[in-house]
Amino acid sequence: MLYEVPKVRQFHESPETEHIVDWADLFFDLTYVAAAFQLGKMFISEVSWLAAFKFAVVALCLHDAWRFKTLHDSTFCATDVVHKLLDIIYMCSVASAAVFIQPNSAMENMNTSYAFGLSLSLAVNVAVLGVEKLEIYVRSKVLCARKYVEIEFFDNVLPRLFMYAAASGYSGVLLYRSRDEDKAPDREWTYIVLLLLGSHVMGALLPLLLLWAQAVPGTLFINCTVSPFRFLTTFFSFAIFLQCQPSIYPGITNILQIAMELG
Amino acid sequence: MLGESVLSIILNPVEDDWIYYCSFFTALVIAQVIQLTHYSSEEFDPSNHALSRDVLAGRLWLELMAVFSIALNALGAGLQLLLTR
Repeated sequence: MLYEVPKVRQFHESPETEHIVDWADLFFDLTYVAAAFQLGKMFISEVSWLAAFKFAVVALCLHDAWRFKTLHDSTFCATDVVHKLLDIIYMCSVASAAVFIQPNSAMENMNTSYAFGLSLSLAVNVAVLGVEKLEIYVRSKVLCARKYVEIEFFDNVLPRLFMYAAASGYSGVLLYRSRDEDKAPDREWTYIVLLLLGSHVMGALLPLLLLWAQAVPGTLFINCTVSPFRFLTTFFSFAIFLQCQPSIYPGITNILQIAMELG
Repeated sequence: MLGESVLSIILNPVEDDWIYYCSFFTALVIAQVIQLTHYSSEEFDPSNHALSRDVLAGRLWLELMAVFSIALNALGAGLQLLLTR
């Protein structure tokens, strides 16, 4: 079939059934193994606490790419052509991110496109996931499925999309500016890592703290908290982060300036 | 990530030295023991799993899996470092 709305695999009250792993899942797992291998090479390229921190943040980004896709595929079933194509784009973005993971000495050099490529791949990755969530929200007639993807979208997709896009913009600006220079400042890669880490602070820790504060017993898929509040928290955190860190992020004006130069 | 550890151990230039072989097999045993420990403590019954217990347990399990995954990745890289130096 060319297109159909993804179906819910398992309702909470219905008897548990085992999710059969198909060959495509096994094939896609190879991409993550290769990405983990690249991460290992990055880790051993420099033995220091700062390098270990950068490794942990990039590993967290890739782990999230695996985790959210696995959770989504375990919750919704879609075997049509359009969703297979979306899966291919998703895996291409993971493979692309893996390719751009290089030793820290190479990542720090802003004349290369490694940091930009990694950030952009992660942004595309989350964007594809966001499209899948939005599609279910718009097309599905199952109320709990719509509520679930709504929570997922505001909790996991939107904060990460903001931060990965910010990291892409920042590294893209640096790449554009340093193309004619001999050597770019070393600390910029650390700032990009901090931007990537920001996505986890807002996308993972914040909802976790909210849940802890509310301490509402329930289930992962049914229990709903106040999504607009989460959205506002995420949005304002991002805005505050941008405004308070002018030395880290060059700001929208720089991007507009470069766009005008290119124009 | 355990697969990455095994890859990191195997995809190294072999040195014709007994210390290298000792390190190589020790690294493999470490990876195997971690695999056994992980799967023997894993909950396979969906109704008892943290994801279906409550929302906080599920969320914590998800976040701790990320930490576990990064630690496994670091272990694989560390074993590779051990074998190459």
